[in-house]
Amino acid sequence: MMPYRVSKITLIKLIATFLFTFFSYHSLMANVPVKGTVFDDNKEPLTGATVVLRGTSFYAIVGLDGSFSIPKVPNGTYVIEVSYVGFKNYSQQIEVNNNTPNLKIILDIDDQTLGEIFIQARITRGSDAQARSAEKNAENTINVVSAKSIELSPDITVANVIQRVSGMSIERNSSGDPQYAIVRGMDKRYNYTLVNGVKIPSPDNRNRYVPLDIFPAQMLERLEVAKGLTADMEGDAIGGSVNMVMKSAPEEFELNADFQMGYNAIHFNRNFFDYDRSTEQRFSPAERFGSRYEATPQDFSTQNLITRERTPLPDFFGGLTVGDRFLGGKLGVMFGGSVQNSYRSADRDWYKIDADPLGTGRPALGNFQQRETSVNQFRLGLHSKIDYRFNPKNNLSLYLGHFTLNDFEVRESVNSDRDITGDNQNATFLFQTRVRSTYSNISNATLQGNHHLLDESLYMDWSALVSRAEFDRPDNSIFNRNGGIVNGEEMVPNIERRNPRRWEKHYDQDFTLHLNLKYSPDFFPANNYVKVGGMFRDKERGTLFNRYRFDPNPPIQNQGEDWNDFSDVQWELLNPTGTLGHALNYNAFEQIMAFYATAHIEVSNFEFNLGFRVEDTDQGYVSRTTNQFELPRLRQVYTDFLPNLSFKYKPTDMVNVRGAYYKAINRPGYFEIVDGISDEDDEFSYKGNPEVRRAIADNFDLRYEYFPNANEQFLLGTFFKRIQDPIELLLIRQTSLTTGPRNLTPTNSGTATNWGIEMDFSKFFNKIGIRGNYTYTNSSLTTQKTERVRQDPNDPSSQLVLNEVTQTRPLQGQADHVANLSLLYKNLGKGTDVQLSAVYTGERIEIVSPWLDLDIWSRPFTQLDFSFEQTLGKNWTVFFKANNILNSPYELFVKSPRKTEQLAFPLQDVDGQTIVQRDFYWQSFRLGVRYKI
Amino acid sequence: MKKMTFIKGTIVLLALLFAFSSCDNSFADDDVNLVDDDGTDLVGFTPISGEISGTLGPNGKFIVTADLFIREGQSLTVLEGTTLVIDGQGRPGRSPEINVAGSLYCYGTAEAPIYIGVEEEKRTEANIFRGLWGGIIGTDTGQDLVFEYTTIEYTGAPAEPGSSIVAEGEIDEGEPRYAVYWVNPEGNFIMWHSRIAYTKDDAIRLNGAKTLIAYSEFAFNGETGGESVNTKSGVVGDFCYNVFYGIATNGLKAANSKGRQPQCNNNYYNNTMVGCGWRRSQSGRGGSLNFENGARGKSFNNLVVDSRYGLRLFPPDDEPDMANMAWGNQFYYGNHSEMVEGFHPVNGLIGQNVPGYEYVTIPTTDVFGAVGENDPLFVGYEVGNFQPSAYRSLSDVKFITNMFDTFKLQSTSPALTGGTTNFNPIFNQYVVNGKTYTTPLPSTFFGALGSN
Repeated sequence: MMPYRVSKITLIKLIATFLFTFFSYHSLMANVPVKGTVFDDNKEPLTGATVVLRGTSFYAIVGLDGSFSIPKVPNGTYVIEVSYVGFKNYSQQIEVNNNTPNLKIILDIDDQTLGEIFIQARITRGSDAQARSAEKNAENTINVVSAKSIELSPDITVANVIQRVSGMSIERNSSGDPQYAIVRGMDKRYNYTLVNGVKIPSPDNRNRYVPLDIFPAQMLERLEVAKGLTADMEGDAIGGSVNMVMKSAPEEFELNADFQMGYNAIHFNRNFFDYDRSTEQRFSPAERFGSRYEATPQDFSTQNLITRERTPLPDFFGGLTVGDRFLGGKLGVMFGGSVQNSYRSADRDWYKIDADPLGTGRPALGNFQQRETSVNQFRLGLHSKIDYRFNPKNNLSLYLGHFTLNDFEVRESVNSDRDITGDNQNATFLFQTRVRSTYSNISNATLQGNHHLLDESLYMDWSALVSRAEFDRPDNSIFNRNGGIVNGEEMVPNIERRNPRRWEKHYDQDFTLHLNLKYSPDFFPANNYVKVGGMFRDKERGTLFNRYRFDPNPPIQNQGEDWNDFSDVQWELLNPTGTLGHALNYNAFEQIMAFYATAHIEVSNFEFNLGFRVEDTDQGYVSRTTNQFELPRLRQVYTDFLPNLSFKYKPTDMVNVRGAYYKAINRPGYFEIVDGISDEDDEFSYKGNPEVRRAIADNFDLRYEYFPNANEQFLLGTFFKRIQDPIELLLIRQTSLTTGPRNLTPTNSGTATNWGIEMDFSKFFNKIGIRGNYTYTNSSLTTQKTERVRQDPNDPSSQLVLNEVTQTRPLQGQADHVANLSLLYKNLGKGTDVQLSAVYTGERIEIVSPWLDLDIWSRPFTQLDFSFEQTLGKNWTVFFKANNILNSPYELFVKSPRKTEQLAFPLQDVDGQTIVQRDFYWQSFRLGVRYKI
Repeated sequence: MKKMTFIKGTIVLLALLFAFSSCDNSFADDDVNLVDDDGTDLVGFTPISGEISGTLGPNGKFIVTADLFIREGQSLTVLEGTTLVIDGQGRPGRSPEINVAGSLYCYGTAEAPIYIGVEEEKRTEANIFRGLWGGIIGTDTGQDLVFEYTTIEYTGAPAEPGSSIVAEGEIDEGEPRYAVYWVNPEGNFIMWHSRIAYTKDDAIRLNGAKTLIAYSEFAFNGETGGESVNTKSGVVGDFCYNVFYGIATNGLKAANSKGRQPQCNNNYYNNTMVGCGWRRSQSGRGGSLNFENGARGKSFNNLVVDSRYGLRLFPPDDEPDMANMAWGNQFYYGNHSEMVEGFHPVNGLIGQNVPGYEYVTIPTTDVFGAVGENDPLFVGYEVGNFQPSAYRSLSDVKFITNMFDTFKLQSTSPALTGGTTNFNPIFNQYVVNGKTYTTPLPSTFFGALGSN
């Protein structure tokens, strides 16, 4: 896109004009309406431009589709005036009578400049129009969400925003909040997250992917989702990438503040659980006293594990951004801060299931658990971006960001083995309380430079990043009691054995350099260029895992007699020195060096990009395992050659046809290759797999794009992927032994294919807009499964045996249908914005079972969110947002009836299926004000 | 205004820079794996540790100072009269185990049995559930494990992070190890005239083995939970003529879980079980004899006295392979209503009219009555003084020996007749390491011992 010189017409002036016309509005008797459209010379609608009949109070504001209408103007001669920031004022004399034609007004760009300021586009930063323009002009297929639409949407975190993007869905955390991005239904492992174009480390304890709920949505200038790769992008995103472009300094002084209060409807029904963290010990005894220290129960605090119930305070969310330019526009400064404190709760009922021990192949229901979770989430985001424009050809920018997400969670659950007798007179229960504090943060410093060299024929940009993610989960504790009903009488709960308290922490730290050179000398045909570049990353990751286990001593301690709360219980510590010799105490490293070259060729209406990328990976770990059966260290070195081809055909200005091929990889996560088992306190334990290799994928994309004007679009695309050795988390037995319990293990499973169709459109009428997208995906993968059957199916006395069989299924996490629909109402005159958004995620496999036909699917899920926003006066906006209006349950099920249909079990209310889990998160509401200069 | 913004901005910027500079790069110090050696000197005992094979004894005295390893393909034979004292303190790093990736043969005799346990001064009642050493832990390559006339005591020390049983995922580090763990469905396990007592958790956990356990005694297995013999898939064999006393949960328990082959198939017959199932801290747990989760087998002629439950067949969805289960002829006695109600437990299948299993009625061959009825008349043990609460508070935990004399029946016992001989052992004989063990056939008396 060509740079434009912009006149410095102030926002204030615009707002003044706007308000003047707004407050002078009153209806008059009139005869005919004056209608028309206002576009720029690129046929993009100038939404928000003011249309006034000079000397009267008749006016209109240009709508989303570029149209305006001034109702009921008396016949006569008027001068119509149109003004919009960055454009020359327009005036024209018109005759208003019954034959007044629709006016077609084109505004010219105002070339007057103040200072030598270049910006890439005249379109307001963070606007929808800017977003559509970026999509249209990009070399690859990207989707862009603007700050404006984030502001208008009901979204708090970047993870909420993601699900509004075509082909994107999200994976939720235990309290129902979106956390991870899923591109085209492909597992979160197939995409990466960038901040200002540079990859950042993750505080996640096992994986590379970054939890997006740590980033407050209001800090974004825009969110770019790329569903394909170009040669200058890192090659480990088979699905795509999520790039958070953070707000940068504005041209004018800008201040933006908001404050919101919220509440979750679940707290109308039940209380919130919390605990007092003041005595929580952030360091375990072994960290405090040395790894040989033999701890005693007295070394552990108890008050922090006493839970209490209360009615939570309302949530609050506050944000502030301030930005300005100094030194004649050369120095730009932007600061942002955001604080969020919220109380979330969720309820879950779930079963442990297994294959019928008697060989029918149906799921057998095991342990049944009813769980209530409460989380106090605290988020703090601080960031700043400083840029300095030495001259039009050179600038530097420094981005600093620090994002914190702390979770304080209590989980109360009741387990039953379902040995409940028919009359409910006898049952066995396990009561469990888990208290867990999690402190995570990401810090990021990026220095970037842009330089035009050699008479502007060479463009160089570079960036240097230092970033560190930290995760600290001290004293994650489980308190188990057993109880039950015997002959109709409730047993006094007694302390169960093996109560764990664990300390986990890690850091993940990157140092990354990027350098790109784009060469387009005069002897190249116009717009053609070659681009070369490279990057280097040195990553280091360290983890600590220290778990202590406690038995009650004396072994029988009855509630009410021997103890009333956690601090009264007498404990014996089973492993006084902790577990610092466990494999989860490791250091991982990864060095990536990459080079690329690409050529951009334009011939008439065609654009071609031909490129390749070479990525060299040196990855490994050293663990402190004392286990003779585990590998204490591992190093994997490999080089990938990743070709990259694409074309763009522009038969008209409004249409793009794109095609692309690229090769991409998916590296195992740092922990995924570490040989060792980590037990999760629920469901299944997790085992690293040193054998797991990177997956390699061939990707094909074809897309038709139609942009009738700036913020409207219609996109239709199709894609095909062939993934060799996709890494899936399978429930398998350990590789070296035929025995042992099953673990979730990252495993290369065969060759998967994945194709789909996606559609994206947005259409605006004057005040009403509709935006939608739909993705169909079909993936297929054949893997080994086990079935348990009678050796001779006709002989019920024959042995129960296990057979290996193959089964074809979709990729784990792959939803077949993903759709989004938003209805927007925007009355610029009255300053009202209303949005209703629905997200539909089709059924997908959540857990791949080792058993034939027993994969656990999630039920299609529809989430409906609403937001309303009203401008009040010059600087104020009030808004109301409601999330999860339908209180849609998140439900997991097996596509087979349960083993014992003749018995009634809780939750089992769907014929022909076995319900495995049902979660409810309830609605959440927020009310807020925003102040803006 | 602008200046103020700038100053505030600078403060935030400095704060951020400070946040970066305060990062540290590693956790924990590096002095793990150092173990103090306070050197136990036991006069007359030869210290052994590390890899071992060949023969120990006869009548040898050894002290095991650190883990013993019998490697794959190798074997260790312990001969009669030999004492193996394990220098275990029940703490991590100080509780050796005997790790068997090959074969271990303990050939004691009636006159000169083998003892594997702790030094004499540690053999106290206070130490009964202390779990002083790590047990005999097999790996998936373990071939044969044989105990003839061998006593194993005071096991159940917390598992070390480096041990094979933890690596395999059977238990976590810090959890008590079993006295005996065997894990090869192709392997053999023989326990013959032997004894396992005073264990913190399960005495025997079998995840696969062709198994014969006969003429053996079990006492005080499991502090607050744990079975004497807990078998999973891959275990096929006969369990007969054994005596169980004061077991936390079940004496014998079978489940076809954990997905190995062949299907778990156990015959439980002519066993005596006294005072079992009371120390399981969770309600609704066994017992005496228990089948679940697709296991198959037979249960006849067992004598169950003063125990929490009688034979329990687990209800759906974890029921045993009912098409291939046979049971009956159990003799029950209880001096407390809780015991009598538990003869055919309400949370089981027998006599509970569970939908789909209405046919599973109480066998007419079972001998049972009201509180205090059908006293089996043991020679050395008086029934009727038993209080469940005493067991739960562990106040009844004390030494018990001579169980084969104590639990013999008086000649007037009602339990001397009524058993069935109308079934066969799974295997008539077991041949291991060139020795043949002929499986004892069922008797018409109940329990393990009959009268003189």
